Amino acid sequence: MLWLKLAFKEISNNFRFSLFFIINLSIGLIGFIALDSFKNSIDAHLTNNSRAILTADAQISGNAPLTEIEFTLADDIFNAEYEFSDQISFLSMVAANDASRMSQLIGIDATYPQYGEFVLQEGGILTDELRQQLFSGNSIWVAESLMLTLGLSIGDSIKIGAMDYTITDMIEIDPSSTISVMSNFPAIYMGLEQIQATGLIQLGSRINYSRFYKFNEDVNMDTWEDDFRQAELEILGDTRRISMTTHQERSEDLGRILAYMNDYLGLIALIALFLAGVGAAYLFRSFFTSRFKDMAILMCLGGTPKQAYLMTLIQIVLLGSISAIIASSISFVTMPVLPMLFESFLPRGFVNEMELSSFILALFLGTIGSVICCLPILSKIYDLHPIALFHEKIQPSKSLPHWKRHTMSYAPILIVFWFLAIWQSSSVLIGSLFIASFLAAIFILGLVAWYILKYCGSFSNHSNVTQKLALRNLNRNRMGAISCFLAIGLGSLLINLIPQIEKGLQEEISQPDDFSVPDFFMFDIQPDQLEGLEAILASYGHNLAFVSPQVRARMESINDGIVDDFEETPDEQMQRRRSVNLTYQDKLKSSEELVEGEEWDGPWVFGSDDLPGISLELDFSERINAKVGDVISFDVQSVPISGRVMNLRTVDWNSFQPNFFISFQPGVLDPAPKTFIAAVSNVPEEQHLSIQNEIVEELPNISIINVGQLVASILDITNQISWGIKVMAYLAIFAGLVVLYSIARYEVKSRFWEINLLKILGANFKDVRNIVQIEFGILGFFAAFVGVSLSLLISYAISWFIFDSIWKISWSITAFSIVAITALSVLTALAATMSVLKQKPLQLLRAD
Amino acid sequence: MLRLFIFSLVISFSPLIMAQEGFTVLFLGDSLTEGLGLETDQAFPNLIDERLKTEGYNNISIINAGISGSTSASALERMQWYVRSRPDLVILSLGANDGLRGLDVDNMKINLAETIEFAQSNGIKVALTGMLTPPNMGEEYTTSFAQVFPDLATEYNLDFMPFLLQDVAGIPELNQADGIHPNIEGSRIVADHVYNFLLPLIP
Repeated sequence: MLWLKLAFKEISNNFRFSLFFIINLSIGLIGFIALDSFKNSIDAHLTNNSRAILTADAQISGNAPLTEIEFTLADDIFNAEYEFSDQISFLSMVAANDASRMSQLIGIDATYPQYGEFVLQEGGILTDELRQQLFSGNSIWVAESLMLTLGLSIGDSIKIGAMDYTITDMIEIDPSSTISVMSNFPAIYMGLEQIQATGLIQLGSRINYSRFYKFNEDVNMDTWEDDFRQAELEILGDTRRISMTTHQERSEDLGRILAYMNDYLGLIALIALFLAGVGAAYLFRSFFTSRFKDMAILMCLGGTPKQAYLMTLIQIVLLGSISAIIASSISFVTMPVLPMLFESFLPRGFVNEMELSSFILALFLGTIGSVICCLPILSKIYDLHPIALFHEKIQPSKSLPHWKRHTMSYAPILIVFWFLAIWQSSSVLIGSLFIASFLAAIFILGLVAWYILKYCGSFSNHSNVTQKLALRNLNRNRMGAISCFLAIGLGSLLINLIPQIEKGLQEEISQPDDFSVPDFFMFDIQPDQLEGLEAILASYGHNLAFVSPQVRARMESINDGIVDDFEETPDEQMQRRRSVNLTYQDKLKSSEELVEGEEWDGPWVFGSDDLPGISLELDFSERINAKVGDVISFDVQSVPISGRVMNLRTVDWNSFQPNFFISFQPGVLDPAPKTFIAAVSNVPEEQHLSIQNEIVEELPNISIINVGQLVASILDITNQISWGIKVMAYLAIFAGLVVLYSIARYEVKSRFWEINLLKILGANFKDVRNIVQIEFGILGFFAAFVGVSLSLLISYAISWFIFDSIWKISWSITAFSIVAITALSVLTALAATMSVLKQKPLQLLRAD
Repeated sequence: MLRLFIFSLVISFSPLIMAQEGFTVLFLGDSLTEGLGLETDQAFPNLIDERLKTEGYNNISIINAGISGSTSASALERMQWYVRSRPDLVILSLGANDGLRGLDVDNMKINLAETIEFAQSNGIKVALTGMLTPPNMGEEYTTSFAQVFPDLATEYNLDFMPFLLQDVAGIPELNQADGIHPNIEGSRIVADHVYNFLLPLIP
């Protein structure tokens, strides 16, 4: 009890330090809670979105009526309570006003949709009452585009199969229409019983039967699709009879980017933790050093090292808890308000969810985390002897503590951070590598510091008095300078790491310069239709973009070896038949980047000594095991054509441009039978339908897909992610600079004695200032330089491991980090020096 | 002009495309011809090829010119490509994808007619196989779609097989899980039917 009282007294006596410690730690913890809750909120938001797109958590579907066999198969995998909704859908020609159009008929039951908002023009959001109206009589709800195309209005009727149906409402928002290619055909909704009564479901009809599931609890569905396929194969002997889709897999387009975002946020949280750790240890070290004398007195009065240890521990836990509570309270008040501030950036309906786990984690980090980070300093209490009272300058013993205690004091830090790293990165390998590279960075920084400081000693002989003093100070006080160097270096490393990774991710997410959102994708354009298609578009003031020929071929051999190991091709069928789509192009597209080899110079000339050039997409080349210089032979619709791999390229698949794995030098495939793929951009909404209709009318075989809405919603999310990544990067820089400030401040404070001595010996302000400036300039610059260089190396390694080698050096941020950290070190040191210089030497003598 | 020149050069150095001895049959079709979901040698043209060889028709060669997903719109251009290989007979089996996508029936008829005319004008005999579209498309469409093939056969005086997937379509045991592409058993039945249809056309 006495020690608790004493601990309290100590804290209140050192009010300024306590306040500084609490403020620093609170800022760090608020940042951490914000990160954690932001991460959770993004997760929740996207889950809701992908649920709305599927209208359910999971779905099974097949082209024959689903039976108990299939349901049991699914039940075994779900192993959870659920509600279900059945659906039947198929394509059919519907007719009205002497015209007909292909439409998608969808039969729903009373529980549709399980997630997402379905809105009708007159009825509004779907209600039970509206559904009952639909299920009575021959009522249907029709998509707006079909109404316009066939010139229909509510109340009119459409002929479906042999019967007439009355349009009772028009569909305004259909959640399931955003992502499905099937939705290219306008939807007609009717009751499940009504759709079975159309008479269109007969032998030979192509019908899709689905059951949608909504679970009553949170379930982990990561492996469901694979498990289902496996079970299907075992029980039914075929994997294609029915398929399972989970909402997670449905928004696959975004999957990769979202996974990056998740890993990135985890990484930031990890780095924030490391920064907080370095900061807390430093802060505490400065406090502890200043309290050494008091502790020595306590021990003179009969206190044991254990008691001193306990008292200090209580102090840390108290300060840590106060910080954690303050941070949690501030977060609790501000977090729900934050989305309002950033409303224009955030997706519609985004709610910043506060998780209890974030608070618990903050509390844990504030208390246990602080203790762990301060352990190495705490262990020095055992080396404290009352004799220290008689030293002019009281400092912890320079001699190394007992090795056992030394190891024991550092081991918890290592273990806890190792555990956290693995947890945050959800990978033992990545987490361990992160810790390993951090330790390696400490070693390299220490080594470099040692040599620089050693060199300072010999260099000092050639300098004037001020420089000599500064350099010799560094050389003499090498251990202290190295720890300062280490701290600044590690800080710089962590600060620069995030923006560096951010740069690569931004590059990956952002679109090429000539990017414009495509509204339509068109497939199956015959060569003789290009002109007509361009004419139609021109009449609306648009051009065809990214026109790419597509030639079907079969890959026969690579360097005369038969291609039989054609693994990992997304399409099983393509794999078996080694079917590939080839293209040919003059030069690389803006979405492509050469990584190896060279581009061709003009078309291939028949009779030239070499084979025509082939360009392969990098990942694809790895899959088929082909290198630059290899000869690949194709069967291009019965014509054998060989080419030599001339270059490898990467493709930005987010460019929304037609991209191919294999492209040929022009002059070879030109006469082969081909179709074209093209896109049209910047089409105003009001022209969509008439352009689509005119193309269907004039050039009916061309598949035209309206992707505008889909692309826009993907872009919307990637923009939000990109914004989030940037904000997090700035937050990391800011937090890092705060930590660096406290480090530099502590370092100068530890030099009060020296500064004071210089003053007493007659040095003027300017000289003292210069000495400090040189010392911290050297320390700051070199530490920042080495730290930032290491950060480039580590960020490259991280990108390689986690982000599929997406990496781009950011010179501006790198330069900024070095300059800012050097400047901050010098300025903080100078500011601290000034406050020392302003005091009278006598006061300083008394102070300690 | 240059394009044509290069083209002819490419063609001329390709051994497969050189006019072959004997009788060449070209199967111009879609995924049903290509044999989607089957091994290459299980596609019906390849099964026919195998049977012809075992029955001693050694001077007959088969070209499988099936491309999955192709519609009748691609027929003419592909016919122009293959005409260099001097086929003696073309079995035209396109249209299934037009039907599945609900494409305009008149347009399909024009596409096929142009292809037939082009082949005939190049001295290639044309045989046509008919196709049906699933009943869910609606009676009006399925009827007018199915009528195109016998109409063309009459108009151009073609040898005509009324339905390529005779005895196979709609029977789950003979089709793959997607319900429209024959499995190996189905493919054998198609091959038998087409073989019997083909045999009288071979000199």
